[in-house]
Amino acid sequence: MSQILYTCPFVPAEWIAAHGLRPARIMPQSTGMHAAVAPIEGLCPFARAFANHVLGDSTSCGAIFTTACDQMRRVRDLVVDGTCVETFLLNLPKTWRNAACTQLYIDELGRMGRWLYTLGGCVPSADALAATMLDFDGRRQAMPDRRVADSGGVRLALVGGPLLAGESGLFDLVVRNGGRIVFDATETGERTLPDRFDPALLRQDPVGELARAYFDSIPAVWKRPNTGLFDWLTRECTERRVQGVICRRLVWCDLWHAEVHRLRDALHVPLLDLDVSDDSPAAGERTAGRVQAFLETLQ
Amino acid sequence: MIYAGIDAGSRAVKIVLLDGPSGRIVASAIADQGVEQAKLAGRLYRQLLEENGIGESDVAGAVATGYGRAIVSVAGTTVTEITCHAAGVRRLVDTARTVIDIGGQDSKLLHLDTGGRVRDFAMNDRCAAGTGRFLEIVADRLAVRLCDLGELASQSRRPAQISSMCVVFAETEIVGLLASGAEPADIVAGVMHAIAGRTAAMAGAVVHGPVIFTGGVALVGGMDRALAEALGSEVAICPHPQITGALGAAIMAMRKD
Amino acid sequence: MTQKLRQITLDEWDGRYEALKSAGLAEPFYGGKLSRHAEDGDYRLRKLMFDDSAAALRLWNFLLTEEERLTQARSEGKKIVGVMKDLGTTAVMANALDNVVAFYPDGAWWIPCVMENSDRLLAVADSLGVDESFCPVRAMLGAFVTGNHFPIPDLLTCSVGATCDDFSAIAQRLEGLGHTIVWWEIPHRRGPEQGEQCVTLPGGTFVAAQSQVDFVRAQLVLVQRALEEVSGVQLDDAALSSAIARANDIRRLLSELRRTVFTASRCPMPALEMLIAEMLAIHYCSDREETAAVLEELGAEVQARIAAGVGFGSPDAVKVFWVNPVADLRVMNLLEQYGARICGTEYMFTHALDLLREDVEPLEALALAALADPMAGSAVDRAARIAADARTFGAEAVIISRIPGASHCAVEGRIIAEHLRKTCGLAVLEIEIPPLTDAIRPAIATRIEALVETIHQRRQP
Repeated sequence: MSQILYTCPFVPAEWIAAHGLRPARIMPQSTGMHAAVAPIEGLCPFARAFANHVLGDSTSCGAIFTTACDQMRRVRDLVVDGTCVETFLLNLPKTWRNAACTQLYIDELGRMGRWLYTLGGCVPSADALAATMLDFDGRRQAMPDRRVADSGGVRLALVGGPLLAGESGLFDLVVRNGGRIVFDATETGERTLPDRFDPALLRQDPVGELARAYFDSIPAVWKRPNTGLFDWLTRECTERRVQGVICRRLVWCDLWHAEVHRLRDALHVPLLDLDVSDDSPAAGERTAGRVQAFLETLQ
Repeated sequence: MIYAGIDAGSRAVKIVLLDGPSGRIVASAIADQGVEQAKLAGRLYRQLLEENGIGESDVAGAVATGYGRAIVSVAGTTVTEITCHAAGVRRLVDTARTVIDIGGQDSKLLHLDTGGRVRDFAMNDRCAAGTGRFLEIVADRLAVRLCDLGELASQSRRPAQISSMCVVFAETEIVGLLASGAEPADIVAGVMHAIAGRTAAMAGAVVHGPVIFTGGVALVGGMDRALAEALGSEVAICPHPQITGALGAAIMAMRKD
Repeated sequence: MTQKLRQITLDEWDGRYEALKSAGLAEPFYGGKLSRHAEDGDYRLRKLMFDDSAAALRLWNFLLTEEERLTQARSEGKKIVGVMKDLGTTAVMANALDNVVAFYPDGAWWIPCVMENSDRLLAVADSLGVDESFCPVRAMLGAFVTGNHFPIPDLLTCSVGATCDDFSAIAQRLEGLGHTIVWWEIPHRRGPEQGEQCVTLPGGTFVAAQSQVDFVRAQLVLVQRALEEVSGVQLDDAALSSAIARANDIRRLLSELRRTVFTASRCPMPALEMLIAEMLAIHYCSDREETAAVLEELGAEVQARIAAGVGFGSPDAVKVFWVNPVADLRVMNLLEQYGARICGTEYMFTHALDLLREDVEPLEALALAALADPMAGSAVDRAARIAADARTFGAEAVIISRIPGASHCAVEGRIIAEHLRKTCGLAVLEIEIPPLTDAIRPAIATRIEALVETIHQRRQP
């Protein structure tokens, strides 16, 4: 019962862990017609899948939604009355180039901490928090780097929002068709890894360092302006010699949908606009056809 | 006195003649809708009167309902199909509290009070994937007659997942399912579940029973079970489901007289 | 009195106009026949039914000449500021400066309707990859690209945070086209937690934590600085306080107009004209003084009609509360046509109708108003405000018009509907209204007609 569910990469796992609870970042599976939150025209399938995951969960003590997108902010309204799991809405500032917004993020972490405490968590000391942060930082550094291995194939970037559980086969699908994802810039990929913690800053102000590594550093499509995302994508695609981009977006996700043309213009490589409604086998077939055609074109 | 109800629906014209004093259905007729809807309704109306030996002057009142109600010249008044379906179903099932009507072009869900008056209603919004049209598409794709869909669906062991909100994309999904070797029975059952799911989504938080299922799609075997599953409530098929709208219109004509 | 007022067509307005002129109608500089706008491309007017009063004529003429006012302001050397999304806060700040005129680019969402797509703004948006899966406000992108509907502003501000994804994405796209935007943050409104100071927001329904008010106040300082920079004039508290007082003059006029119309025993003003009148609250159609004059004349007309015992429709018209603005103005005519009347509205900007506080420091007052935005909180919050207003005005039914592609509409409609059914026992109808409804007009009409029938059944003992 000490588990906290979340999906948003701007929720620091180490913050939850430092409070003595278990962070569980969910990659939800899309749900059928008869799930508690039914398909609604205009509703993001990922937000719906997470809502249904929370509604169907009886083992976790809390779930964190964030205001990263309006879909997730609003789908929480459908969840609050129907679940025994406590929910928390983290206010993520959309603007980011002023100190006030970073401070708001820090204040929101504080509010989240108080909520975690009500769920049975503890209040971490600065030292305990710093130790937890270093532990998580070390584990992240141990993750494999896709840039290192070079086993041939057309070098692709995968750009977009969060993947659904049933979409994990996308990477193999690309390989089967003669390509390779050398850059996973989806929300479930390396784009949303926080920056490395600075040991000196960590000792002085661990919460401030948490905010810097997460809020200030992770590029996001919803930040206003989102120039940080474009600068980062352009740089990384160039460095990794990306030959093509798959922009995989969920239907009804306006934030990514609106950027497809800009991405095409900014990245200067062929781009596949891949819209996905769910992770069902039928949707997988459609995706397979498009990816195959894209790679045939690139080859 | 005779009262007439004419339901000029999107797929068919339905007419009911009601005997005023007794409230008995004297006659009814159904014809497929055509291009000249006004003429078709008029012709069917006169034919029905003639076949039953009733003169036009014997008809004390006529009410038109359905999508084409405004152009039915033989009716003096129009009433929406919401009110008419409620009245028609309550005449046939006097305990009905929830009415589901799935027609060719739209679907509706009516909440009635204990006295049979409409308290609230919801209609699907331009989504063909929640209507009988979806069944027509799948029947066409599978080369199966509409009336045989129920029998086919009953053989399903694992209904397919149809998730698209748009019937055009849903049709693409069906093509994909066929290509991947899915059983036609599973596809039909999947479509029925999809329609039922969309209908249930209109129901809101509380559904009072008895739930009565009317409209042409009620005649498709298995749809009542799919709806019951989606709603989590028993669903009964209304007697004469195709003519409840017309019957309600005739009742409205009688009340207005 | 049983005299029934009648809405008239655009053609009928020409005759009516001549009659009014013969009777000595005095018009402001933007006056004239209504039909001239249709000749200039506002074709939708030919399909609308209008109130036939001189006050309504002035309202329409005022609305449809905003571009001319903006162009004139620029020629006079004034700075043009486009205030996007926040609906009623930053416009007040901009209007504190004599050499600045604020307008509301989001209002371009009505152009595809009013011009019946003849200006192809939606097609321009399509070509930029912003297709019909977005809210019709995407027409704003087209308007910036073509430059045909308003002068390109000297400054653009946009609130972001607890706002719609579609609007945020469209505004970002606009910035990507080279139009720099001053973004300011409006956080999701939340109630105070233990130990936090609680503030009741204008309107009286919503509360927020004082820390949120402080945050928004700091954000408005960013807007203040940007306005000072573009205008070259310091925007001090005295000027802001004066602007707030003037904004409140408009809000009082509107509030009285709404109260009078919604509570009158017979409907003295059609839903369509009321919608247009309410929209004036957001940015005064670029002229505050004239807005006041237009509203005063409408108010006088309404009072005269009530005194004479005349109104639109029958005395037993079904009282409908309308939620969300419609992309197609023609839909509003359906209310009177099918035996209903407008009796309360929530067009997503009630915070622009509630009085701004004059007893606190001006930026604090504006921050309080910004946080009272019904869209900045939860759907249940919004539903509570709608329920309170529906009770106040005695509404019998609620129509929630969905805006195609708007991210808030996907889930909030059913939450609001369930709340209203549960707490007020109201009948609720949800309908989707695209920019041009001609093809689905029968379907929409059927729903409204059925709602009216339902209420008549409910009225039976």
